[in-house]
Order: sequence, then C-alpha cells, then structure tokens
Amino acid sequence: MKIKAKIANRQLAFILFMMRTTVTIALLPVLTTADAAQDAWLAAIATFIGSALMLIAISALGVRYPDQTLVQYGAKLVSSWPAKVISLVILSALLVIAATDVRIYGEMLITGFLVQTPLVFITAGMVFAAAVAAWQGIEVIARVAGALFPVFLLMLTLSLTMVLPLVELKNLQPVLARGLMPVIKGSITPTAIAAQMLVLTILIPALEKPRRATGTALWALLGSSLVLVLITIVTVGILGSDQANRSIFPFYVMVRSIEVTEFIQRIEALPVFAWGFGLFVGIATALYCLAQGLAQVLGLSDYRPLVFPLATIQTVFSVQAYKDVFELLSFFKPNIIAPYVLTWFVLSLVPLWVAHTIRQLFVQKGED
Amino acid sequence: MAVGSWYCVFGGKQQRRLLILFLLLAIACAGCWDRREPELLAFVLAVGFDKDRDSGDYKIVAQIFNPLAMSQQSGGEGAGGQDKRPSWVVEATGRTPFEARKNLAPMVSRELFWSYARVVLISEQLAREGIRPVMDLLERERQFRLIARPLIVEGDISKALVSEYPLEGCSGQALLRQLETGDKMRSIAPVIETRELINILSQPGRDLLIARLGVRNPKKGVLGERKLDEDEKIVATPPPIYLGGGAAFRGDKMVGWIGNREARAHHWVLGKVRRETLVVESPLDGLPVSIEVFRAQSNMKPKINGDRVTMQIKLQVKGRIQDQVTASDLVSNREALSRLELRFATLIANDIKAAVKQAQELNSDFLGFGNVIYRLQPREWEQLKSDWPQLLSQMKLDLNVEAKVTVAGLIKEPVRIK
Repeated sequence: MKIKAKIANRQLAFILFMMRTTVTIALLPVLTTADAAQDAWLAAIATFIGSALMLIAISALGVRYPDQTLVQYGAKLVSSWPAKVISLVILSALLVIAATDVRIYGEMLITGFLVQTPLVFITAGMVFAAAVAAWQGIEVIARVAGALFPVFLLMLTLSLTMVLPLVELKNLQPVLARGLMPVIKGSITPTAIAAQMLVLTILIPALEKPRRATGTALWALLGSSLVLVLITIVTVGILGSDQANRSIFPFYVMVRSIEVTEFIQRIEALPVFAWGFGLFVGIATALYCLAQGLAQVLGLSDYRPLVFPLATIQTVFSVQAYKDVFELLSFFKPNIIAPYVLTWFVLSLVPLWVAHTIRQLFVQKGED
Repeated sequence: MAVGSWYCVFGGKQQRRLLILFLLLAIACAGCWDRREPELLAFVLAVGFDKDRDSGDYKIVAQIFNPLAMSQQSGGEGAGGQDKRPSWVVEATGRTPFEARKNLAPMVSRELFWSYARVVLISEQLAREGIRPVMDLLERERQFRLIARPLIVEGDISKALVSEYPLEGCSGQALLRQLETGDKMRSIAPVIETRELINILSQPGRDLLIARLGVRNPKKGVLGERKLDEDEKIVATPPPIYLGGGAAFRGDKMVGWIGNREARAHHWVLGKVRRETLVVESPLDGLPVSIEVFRAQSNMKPKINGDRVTMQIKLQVKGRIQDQVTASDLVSNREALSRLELRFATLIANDIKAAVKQAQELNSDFLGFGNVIYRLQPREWEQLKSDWPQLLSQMKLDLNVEAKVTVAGLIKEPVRIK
C-alpha cells in the first residue's frame, strides 16, 4: 500500500516545529536535566547541532527512497522479516514519545490547574482529539498545523516579548565559568528528545517534494532551536538559573511570576494554550505515523482501523508508563534517556544504513 | 430550507457519529470538574507569617477582602446589615506554614483564594529564624504568585493589617499602594518581588535586603495619648505604618535592621534610584538646598590582588534643584555650582561608606559585592568564596561619584527682595 496523501513541505515544517517547540516550552530540558545553569542558552545552541545530526541520520536515508516509507524500503534493504522488526522498534519509539508528551501535559494541568481531575481524563481527551485528526489523515493534520501555526507563534511571541523588559542579563553571568562540560551535559536530553523526528521515516513519501525533506526539517529544527534559545535566555534572565532549574515547568513558572503592568498579568494561559496546540499536532502526527507504519508492517490495505486501538494503547501507556511525576522527570535524566534513544537507533537505523552502504558499494547502480 | 431539514444532516452513518459526539459534548457543558464560583470565594489581599515564640509554630495572618461591604455600598441598606467592614483579619497557627493556612478553614466560612495576595508580611521573629520554609510554600503552592512583595515587619503584623487606612478600602490594598508610592517617590526601602527574593537567595555572594515596614501604635501616634475630639478625628488619624529602611540577611536569616540612609546606598550601588531628595548645604553660606535625583547609574568592578579586594564603584547621578533656603544665586555662578555638585557627590559617597561599614559589621553582603566578583571574575571567586565573609570585612572601596545638577526648575535664582 502506498501513501496517497500529499502534504506540502512547508506544512511538514509547521508540524515538526510545533512538535519540537512543545517539549521546549514544557520542560526546558536544557536547563532542568543537568546543571548547565546560566549557560543553558549555550546548551540550547549545542542542542541544535546535536539534533541536526540526528535528523540527518533519520531523513537522509528516507530521501534516497522518496516514494517509500521505512517499512517499505527497509524490506528492500534487509529483507522482509528483519525489516518488520526494525519497523516495530521505530513504531514503539513513536508510541513512547507520544505517550510521554501527553503525560507531561497531563501532569502540567493537574499540577497547575485541575488539581483534583484524574490524569486519565486529560490524557484520554487529548489523545481522542488527536485520534480523530489522525483518522482523517495526514492532509487534515497538516492543514490544522498550518492554521494553528500563526496562533502558536503569536502566543509564543506575546509571552516572550511582554516579559522582555524584566529580563536581567546579570542573571546570565558568568558565561562558561565552569567550562564546556555542563553545557554538553545539558544538551544531551534535548538532543535525545529530537528522536521525535522519527516520524519522518513514515512521512517522507507523503511529501510533495520528498527529496527536499531534510532541508525542510532542518528549517523547522532551526526555528524551534531559536525559540529554545530565546525561551532559555528569558526564563533564566527573569527567574535566575537556580529558581528555573528547580522548577518542574520553568517557562510556566516564569510567566506566572511576573506582572507586565498592573493590567496585564496572569499571561500563563498563553504558553499553556500554545503548548496544547503543539501537543495536539504532535501526537496526531505520531498516531498517524504509528497507524500507517503498523498497517504496512501487517500488510493491511488501510491504516484507519488501527487508529483508535492505537490511541487506546497510547492513553493507557501514558498513564501506566510512569508511576508519578518524579518517575516521569527521571526519565529525562541524561543517563537514562540517552541510552534509551541510542538503543532505538542502534536497533533500527544503524542496520539500515549499513545495508544501504553495502548495497551502494557492491550492487550495481540502476538496479533500484 | 425546509423545516426539519437540519435533521437530515444527521442521516448518514458518519453524521450519526457526529451527533453522538455532540451529545457527548453536552456533558462537558455541565461545568468543569474543579470549578469554583468567584461569588463563593473570599479573596486574601495580604498575608503575614509569624512564628509563635513559645510553641515554635508558624502563624499565618490573612487579610480577607469582604465583598459584602462593597455590595452594601452600592445597594444602600441591604440585607447584609450596615456594619459590614470591607476587610477581616484572621490568624491561625500550625507546625508548617501550610498547616497554619489550612487551620484557617474551620474558622472562615468561605474558601480562601490566595492568588491576589500581593503583599507578604514577615515578622522580625520569623525572619531571624529563617524565611526558607515560608518561601518554599510561596514557590510551591500554585495559588500564591511570586509577584507578591515581601516586607519585614517591625512590630505586630496583625496591627498593620487591622489598622485603618483612610485613603484605601482595606489594609492589603493600602500596603500594596504604599509600596508602589514609596518606591516611586523615595528610594529608601528596597522593594522587591518574591521572585527576586528567591533569586537573590540562590545567588553566590549576595545577601538579601528586604524593605522594612514599621508599625506604629495607632493610639500613641502624633498626638500621644490625648483623646481626640469628634472633628479632630478626620484630620488626626495617625498613619499606622512607615515604609523605610530594611532588614539585612545572611542566608535566609535576618541579622539586623538598617536605616533609610543605608537602604538608599543599596539603591545607589545597584543603580536603582528612581527619585530621591538630598539636602545639600550651599557652598556659599551653608544654608540648605534640596536636590532631587532623577537619574542614577552605577558600575561596579572588582580589583583582586591575592586576597585583598578593592571594589571600584562608579556612579553617575543627575539631579535638579527643587528648592533652596539659601538666597544666593547658585546656578549662574559656575564655580559655586561645581562646588555644590561636589558636596552633592560627597553626600552620596558618605551614604555608600556608611552602608558598607554596616554590611561589614553585620557580616551581610546585602550590597552584593561578592556577586559582582562571581559574575565578572568567576575563577577568582572560586578561590575567595570560602573566606568571603572575612574578606568582605577587609574590603576596600574605590568610590568615584559624579553628581551633576542639570535642572533648576522654572527659575534661575531666588526672588530679589528689595
């Protein structure tokens, strides 16, 4: 089965930008997962480099097979059964990422707003909405992303510019006082989170110009990294690195602890809304890719019967995977998430790249 | 469109699904899970924390805004009765600040809402024992907001909240306005937000200085114990509070009070003076002139030689003459003006010297000198930080104050009396 849907590269950029920026707004991992402290904004720059490499590792292979998903070209590269295993590894990664995203959002809401609400209501509601979108297809998700993107950007811009006068650059000093190590450590987790880009393994054939997928994704990554740097500077500049580092949701804490003027305060709704939009687009895309990929692995003719079952699994997973918020946060520690993500890559993309290189070297051109 | 054709919209299979979805949405319309009606809440406008001397328990004092008093104002004599006052002050104790807060519930008929608590009063007793536990609650609890401004109270917190503030409806509002006005008109009380307070606590080489709120005994006041006449009461309500000076801390514990002048020096050093009046003696006849500062910029730079630290402070101040008691013409006489400016600068330098001396005596780096070293020369700070309290007491100052009088109001010289 081939993906017939077509989305513009620009739309893919919107999707990836929102997906990636959402986690940034949520946890500000450059700051909270290690002790980069006031140098966290440098860690954000280092993150861009790391995640760009990761992105290229994911998409450069797909670009060589522009009309096939990883499930399909995998079968060609390493034969049918190993390819199915590899595909399942990537699909499970997508499931973990999407479920974790939802869980973070749920934890945020029950910490900050709906203290008595059972977690499952929030995650199920969010996943259900995303499943409806995924059921409609990637074109619909892409259009929703296109429609939400300006609003998303506006809310971010507003919540960043309004607080700008309060930023004290003194809080960013001293720069690089403890050398580069804290910066590099701080960039590990946010780079690992870029494994979100694995959705590209399924999405590339749905693009209008699949051969330009890497460039498109890089632009999205650049945009979201810029936002990450800005958010980090503003958050540390206002809260100070210690206060921000101890917060579970630093950006949210920053936004709610300032008063722009007497009449403009409590602007925390802005980033939380933006976050909701981004999360919706992110998990809808992940669910679509999950269903599409699984359908191809199983040889089904349509992915849609799989959407709601997978959504159910995702909901259960989002609630059951982490006992509490502390366990959720410890998943984001560099020494846990880095080996985790690395395993995904070693089990999936590395064998494919090896097979691909061997084919390039030993099999005559023109055969594929 | 025929009547009832809307019904056909839900004819198909997919449409029927939509119908079910809409019906499901109706459930959501019933209201949200954690809803709280504003009419049923009571808003806390100011919160105070104290420590019970005997039991060691935390005490919370809350000034609650009473909406009934407002409705009574607009609606005339309503069912609420005429004697409803706009504010009510309640207090409770507990082993932790949060327990104290929860212990208010059995005494207050409405659920308390804390997000509008914009002033946090802390008693001297609690400040001396450590404010970290209270800050933990303020930072952790989602209802409190870190834009609230902390004050250290010299005197009784409850009295500050119960007192009558003739210009404002209730004490919480009055205190908040007082902080804004005080900060705008005089730079003698370091008004900060809780967010900044927590940041300063975590900054290396910097100690807290929090504004002092003095509570006056309303009975004594300006008129002493004398009983007031009915007419006199209107003009003679003595101000219940005084905002000025500050409490200097070491870590999270208060170590002493500092006066208006030293608190002003804190503003000079950090370049935070917005408006402040200094009275300078005229160089010609020694009679006073008031100069209001309207701009001040500062720059600090450490000079480290082994373990001897010299702090270079460069200050640029601009002021204007607001009035003069002396009859001499200071403005057209260039030489007199520059001598006046020199005296003006000396006055500022003396403020700073006094504050540094006090910081050294209290061993509290409330002017943030250590932090300047940490920010600008982090490697040297690593060597110095363990001995900093001692190094601070030996620290030398290199002051360079450049004070200018640039405006003289609408006239050049005093009236020429003939």
